[in-house]
Amino acid sequence: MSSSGPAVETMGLGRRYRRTWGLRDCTFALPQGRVAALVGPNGAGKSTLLRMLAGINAPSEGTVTVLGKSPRTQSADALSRTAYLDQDRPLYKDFRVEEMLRFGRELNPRWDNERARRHLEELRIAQASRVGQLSGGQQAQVALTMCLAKRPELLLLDEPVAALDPLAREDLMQILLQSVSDDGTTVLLSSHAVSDLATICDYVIILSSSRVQFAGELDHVLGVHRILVGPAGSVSTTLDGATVISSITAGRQSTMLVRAEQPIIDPSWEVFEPTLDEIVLAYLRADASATETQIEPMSRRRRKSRNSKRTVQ
Amino acid sequence: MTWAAWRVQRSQIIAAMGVVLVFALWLLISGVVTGHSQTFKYWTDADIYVLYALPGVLGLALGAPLIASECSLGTNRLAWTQSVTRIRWLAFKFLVGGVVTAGIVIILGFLLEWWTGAVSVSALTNSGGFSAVRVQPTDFDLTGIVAIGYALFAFSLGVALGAVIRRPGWAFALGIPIFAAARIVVQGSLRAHLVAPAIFTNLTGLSLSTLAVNRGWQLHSTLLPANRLSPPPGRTWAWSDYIKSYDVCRGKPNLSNAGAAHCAALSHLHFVVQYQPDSHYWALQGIETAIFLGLGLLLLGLTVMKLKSWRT
Repeated sequence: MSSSGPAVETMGLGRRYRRTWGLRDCTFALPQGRVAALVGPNGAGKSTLLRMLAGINAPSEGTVTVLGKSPRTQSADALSRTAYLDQDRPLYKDFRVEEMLRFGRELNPRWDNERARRHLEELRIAQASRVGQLSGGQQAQVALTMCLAKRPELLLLDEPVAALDPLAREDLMQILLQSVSDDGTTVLLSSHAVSDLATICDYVIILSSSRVQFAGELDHVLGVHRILVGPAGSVSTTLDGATVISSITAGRQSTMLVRAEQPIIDPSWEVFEPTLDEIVLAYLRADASATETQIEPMSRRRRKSRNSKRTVQ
Repeated sequence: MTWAAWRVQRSQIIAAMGVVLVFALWLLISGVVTGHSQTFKYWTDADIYVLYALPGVLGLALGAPLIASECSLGTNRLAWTQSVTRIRWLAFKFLVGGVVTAGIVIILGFLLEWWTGAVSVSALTNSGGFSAVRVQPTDFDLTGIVAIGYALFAFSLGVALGAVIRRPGWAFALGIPIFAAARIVVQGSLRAHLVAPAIFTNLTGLSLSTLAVNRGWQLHSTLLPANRLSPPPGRTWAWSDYIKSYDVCRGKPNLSNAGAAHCAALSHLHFVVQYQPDSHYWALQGIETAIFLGLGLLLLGLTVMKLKSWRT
């Protein structure tokens, strides 16, 4: 590795789409050699962030540095050190798989064709098949192969496991881990499937409401979040030395997820250590309750939609 | 990289080649048949119009998808994240597409040459689409090298519009009127002045049948005061304040050439024809081609700037 600075560093990074902000005030630093998970609800700005890191989208404000350079400078060298898997898995649909590999070989100086070939062989994807005729999962695999064969220093993967079956997810995690241990690759991947990530990630960035809610080592994330269970009615938005992320009251019992730098000593609450899943879920829930002011009962909603359909007809 | 640039554009290139092939076959059939009979005269008219349109249409058709189709399919996000800069990527695609466009137009040029021989030029001149005088607009646009300029201009226009609109169909549709407007402006008001026109003067005002004038492109012809070769400033070639006396003198029926010359001399007038002679053909072709190539380069420059400042 050429430098020892962070693989990715952003400062007040933001991106505006017409009137709304896709991402705002995003500041974090991802050290090299980490596998980082970028989690957050739909529309939280995950893809926006990754596209800016890949140099495809320009930031509206703030700065971003990838492997020591701005991704907007677009030098061939900088491009060769980062690989990016887009959310839509763009591939030339009329190419054969082998042509896709040749495309990769011609456009990337560090291309590892043997690696790509072997990977596709393991997945039983025939080189002669047309990309457009492969299944969604197979196309995702080809797109991923394109990224891995590039031998990048930084892998930016937008929802890499989205179209994959559980077995393929497992394989992918193995491949990523191997790539990290062999080449020291830094990985930044976004995902909904948090439970899959917990096994391989050592860094977490939680995005919601277009802002970074949390960015840090996995151990740190797990260390500062706590689940508190206590009697209903005792829920408060402020707790001594802790921030309440979300709270649920069910029956006579309330459950809160809080962020606290110091241990919580309060006899009215039982304290548990949350899993990454629970932490992420709490942030997502907080985001959802912030945006939805009123949730109607299911039956009413359904009746309403049926009525509206009828009026449309 | 050349292979990749070619492979990405292959389907459009094959489609364009297909159009040219079908048209060439049609020319072959209509050419052979028309060589022997006049029944196909309608078709030769139509063929000429197709030949007018093809360089622009094919150039746009190859240029518009170059960036736009990648954007609409999202493959630009694949291509631009390989280890090749956008500008280099554009350069290779532009080169491949441009060479193909120019090649197609050169093939069309040879086809036309063969075809005008096969159907015999006289049949074509009768049909009105082709005058067989190469400096005249009807022929000028089809012969020589100028069509290469048109096609490459159309190609870069398609590329640039595609970069802005990002929809190949719309870029193509918008390109057609812009391309047509550029052609009309250059042909209608610019071309005549690209090289200083030649002047032919005749005292009689009746007989113009000089070989040079007939083989040239007549721009203007009128009666002017004897001391002028062009209308005075502020007047157009239609200026006719002073020819009354000439008309009065010429009013008699069956006036001979000598009589007309006499009338012109009496009124201190002479007949002036401004025209582009055949000898200016290559100079005009060269300058007009350079204009369209220059416009094409300008558009390419704008496209490069657009790619460099690409925001989404």
